[in-house]
Amino acid sequence: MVSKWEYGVHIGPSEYLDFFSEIDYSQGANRILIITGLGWDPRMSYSIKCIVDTLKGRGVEIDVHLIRYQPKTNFVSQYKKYIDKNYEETKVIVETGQNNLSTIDIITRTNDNLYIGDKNLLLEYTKIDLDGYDWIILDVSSLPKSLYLPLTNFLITKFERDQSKVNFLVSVYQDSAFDKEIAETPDDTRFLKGFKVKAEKYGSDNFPIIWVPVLEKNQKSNLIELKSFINPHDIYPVFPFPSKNPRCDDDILLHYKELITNSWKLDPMNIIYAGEDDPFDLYNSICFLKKHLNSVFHHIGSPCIVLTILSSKLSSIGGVIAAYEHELEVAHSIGAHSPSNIQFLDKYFDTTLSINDICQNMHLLWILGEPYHE
Amino acid sequence: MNPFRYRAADTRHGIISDLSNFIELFSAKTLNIFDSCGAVFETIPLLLISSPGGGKTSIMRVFSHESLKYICENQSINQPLYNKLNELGCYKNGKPYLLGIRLIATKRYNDFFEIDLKSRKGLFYAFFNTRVIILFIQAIFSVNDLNKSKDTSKVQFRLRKTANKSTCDAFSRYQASDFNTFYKTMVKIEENLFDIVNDPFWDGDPSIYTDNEIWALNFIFSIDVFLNDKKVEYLPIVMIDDFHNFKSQARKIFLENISSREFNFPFWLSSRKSALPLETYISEDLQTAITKGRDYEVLDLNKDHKNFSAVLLEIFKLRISHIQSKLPFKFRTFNKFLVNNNKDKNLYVSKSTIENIETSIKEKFVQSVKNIDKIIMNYIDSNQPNEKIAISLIALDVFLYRKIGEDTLFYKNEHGVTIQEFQKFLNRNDIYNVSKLFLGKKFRLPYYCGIKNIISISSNSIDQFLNIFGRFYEELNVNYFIKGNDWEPLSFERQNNLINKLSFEYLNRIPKEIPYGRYISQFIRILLSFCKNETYKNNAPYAPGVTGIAIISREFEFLKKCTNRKNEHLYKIIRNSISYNLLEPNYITRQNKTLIVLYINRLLCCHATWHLPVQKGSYRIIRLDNLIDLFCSDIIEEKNEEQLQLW
Repeated sequence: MVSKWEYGVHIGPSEYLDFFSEIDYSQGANRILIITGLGWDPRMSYSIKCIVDTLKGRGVEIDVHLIRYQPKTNFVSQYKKYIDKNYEETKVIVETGQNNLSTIDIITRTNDNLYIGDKNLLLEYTKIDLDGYDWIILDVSSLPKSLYLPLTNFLITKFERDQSKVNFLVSVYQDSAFDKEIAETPDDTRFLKGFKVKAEKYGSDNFPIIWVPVLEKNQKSNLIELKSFINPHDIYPVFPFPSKNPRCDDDILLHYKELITNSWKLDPMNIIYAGEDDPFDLYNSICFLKKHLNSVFHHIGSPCIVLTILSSKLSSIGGVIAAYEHELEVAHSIGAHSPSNIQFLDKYFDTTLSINDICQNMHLLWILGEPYHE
Repeated sequence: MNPFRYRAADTRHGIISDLSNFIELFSAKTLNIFDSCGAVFETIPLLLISSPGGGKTSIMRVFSHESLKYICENQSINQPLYNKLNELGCYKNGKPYLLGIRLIATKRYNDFFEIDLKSRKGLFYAFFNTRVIILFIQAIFSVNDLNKSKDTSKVQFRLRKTANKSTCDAFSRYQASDFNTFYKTMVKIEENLFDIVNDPFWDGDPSIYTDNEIWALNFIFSIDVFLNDKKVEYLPIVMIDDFHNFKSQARKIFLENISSREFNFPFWLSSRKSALPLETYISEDLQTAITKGRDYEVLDLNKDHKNFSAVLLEIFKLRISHIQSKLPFKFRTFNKFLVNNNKDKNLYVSKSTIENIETSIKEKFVQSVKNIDKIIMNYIDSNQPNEKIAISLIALDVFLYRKIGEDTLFYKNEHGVTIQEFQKFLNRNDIYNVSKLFLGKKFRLPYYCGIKNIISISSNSIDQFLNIFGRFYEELNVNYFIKGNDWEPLSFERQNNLINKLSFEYLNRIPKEIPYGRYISQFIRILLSFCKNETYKNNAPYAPGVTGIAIISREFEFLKKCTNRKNEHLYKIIRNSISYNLLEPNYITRQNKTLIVLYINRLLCCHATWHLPVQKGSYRIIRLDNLIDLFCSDIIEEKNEEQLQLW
């Protein structure tokens, strides 16, 4: 049986603009919604810029949802100037033409500093009417994983349940150099909301808990916390291969050698490889693993697979669609994001990129819609 | 396979997940901490508190029903542990009597407080109740070797006459008399409650799942369990592990129940220190209306227990003997692991070092103080090891500075210094220790080495101890891998270097692993610099060295109120530092003032930049204003000599 996204559609950088320009909007399919995050990340407006510019004068209605996430109401960020800059720029781009801009405000912390961003975001989107859109593009470039992973899962679930004909795509500006400059100090390790729950239930029958961390460097303390939290029976780590740096998987292995040998006691046969910038390869790898484990454990029941996606944003989408299809749980170490230093951020804001420059790193993943209609 | 890297929390994966390994490696001496709190399973709650890695989970795991059963059936694996548990009352007539139910508090419980519903507290109660009951039932099955699907008809619950109203109501509401129905109902409620908080598409009515109170704890103490119509004898104990994961509203529920004496049965809570108000784990008073010892007990696993050295030694032996048969080389005893023989002790202090010290003293004092030459030669010509000679000479240097400081006319004293007078000074422990410290620092000689120092460096944390030896073990492994049968044990120098490196790594991890870590790291660095300045004065006024600061309790009470941003900032720094064992708090009274002394974690003191003593040294009192000015300025510089002078 073919998995839903076994032949998923990945529109690469060279085809990004052409994709939008070649769509026939004259048949009435002309309402687009772009969902993105409002923060200090300069990448938040890239996809909007590209799409609005490409569709100028084509009679397309573009709505934009800016997810403004902050720990409490009236919070004043130390990066306010960058946030305001992003907002103004986006406003200018969107409000030329028939386009609408709305802000979705999300509070991410309780008074006890517990993270509730995912829960509040999902709650907000249960109240928003998404009918009437022909294209919905979720741009995850400037959203944290703790928000976009549950949101992606939620939107897929919603559209599938409603048997919607909407075309749902995920857009990513892939910039690993920028991602490496973002420091995250995790303080809340738990399962993300909206995904299936099995590992935590006491009343469920005994089943093995398998942890599948999709690895990236410099996440040692996260991995330690996550392993302690999930407490799995076995571990199947995913290493990026092939990748731009052909030694990337070896480098990661060496980087975590102490963890892997002493704490995980990893069986080398458990190692999984998935293409670094190929989310559907990750998806297929996880599906294959699920199938394999089901056959191994079929006498005692289906194992509980817990995903942890520490890899790039692009490949993380492969993880979330696998989690949706196979009802996997997703655990994450959630924390505050901040740039490692202001100078690098200034450098990005001071550099104006043309549409063509932006598109060199833009990726589009077609998740639901025409290619998947039976 | 590094036996020092196993963690007790790995209950499903890894070496320790195997119960036999866990039991084999658990030191029975660890349970001696219960000797101080009377009957362990009294009907008063017990709070186990410590920083992360303090041993709370290990202790609770040992008292869980699975472990108790296993230990009873396999006493030979760890006979001392069985004996100790038997002594504590866990067994009766050779069978498990204590039914340990361990519930891990996760953040999932907090989700119910975020639901937009008046009775959100009721959902929390329901979630907690169902989980306690499910665990209790699973414990009954496990201990009696029953099958959950086939043997449900063999089990019956009967309500005791002493059961209170809430127990009777729950018994009736959930049809507890029909065991099978009861268990299935609990499982179903748990499932529904998970859906309420996790599924954004759930559209039922949450209010139908609420409970009015925590009834499950009283329930399990108010029923009799019958197996095939025969009453089962047991004493349940509910242990909530990682209590700090509950949000404050949830924690308050339990603490209020404790303070109103609702829990009249064995009930344990384990928590990291951050969950409790700072003053709570410093003073160990939960509420003024209840009394420690009568209404509750607290065990601080980080506190200086006399037992600690013995526990560490035993843990070391257990870990090593676990893999001894697989080791290509033998570790017989603690001493041999570190240094093969005592000859090394003399090797690292050379004659030239002694000459340097001698020259330095003579340059400073020989012209002005009589008898110096005589005293110096007395020690150099003695048959003592070089190390002792060097320490004596350093102590002489300190002695002379002190003498000059005490009496400016000392130079004019015709008798100068007598050997007897100096020997009396040298015989003081603090002087000997500070001289050893100065020797190590000035001449870059190994100081952080040897069994006694390493136990001290562990800072009352088993986890820290295991980390240190984990690294030593890896070093030895590499040593053997490279040199084969010519392998050498770890020299003092190598031990010292490894400890320095561990200290360096520990300090660097703070910003990444601890909430508010960036500020805490700066705070600790400034504290360390301050302690170093105070320690390394020529006359060593605070021998054996300064390793902490003291704040007046009254001022600390003011800080706690967080009346402004700076106070709040400093309070957070101190609170989190204590929670993660970076600072160890002690309450002392001096000159009618109560002081909170904050000692820095010993491993941090071993950093090569500061080189502070491994013992719990002296402290310096600091006024709160000075502290706030120094640590709460907008730009905090790591080495701010000018500001340090303000003190």
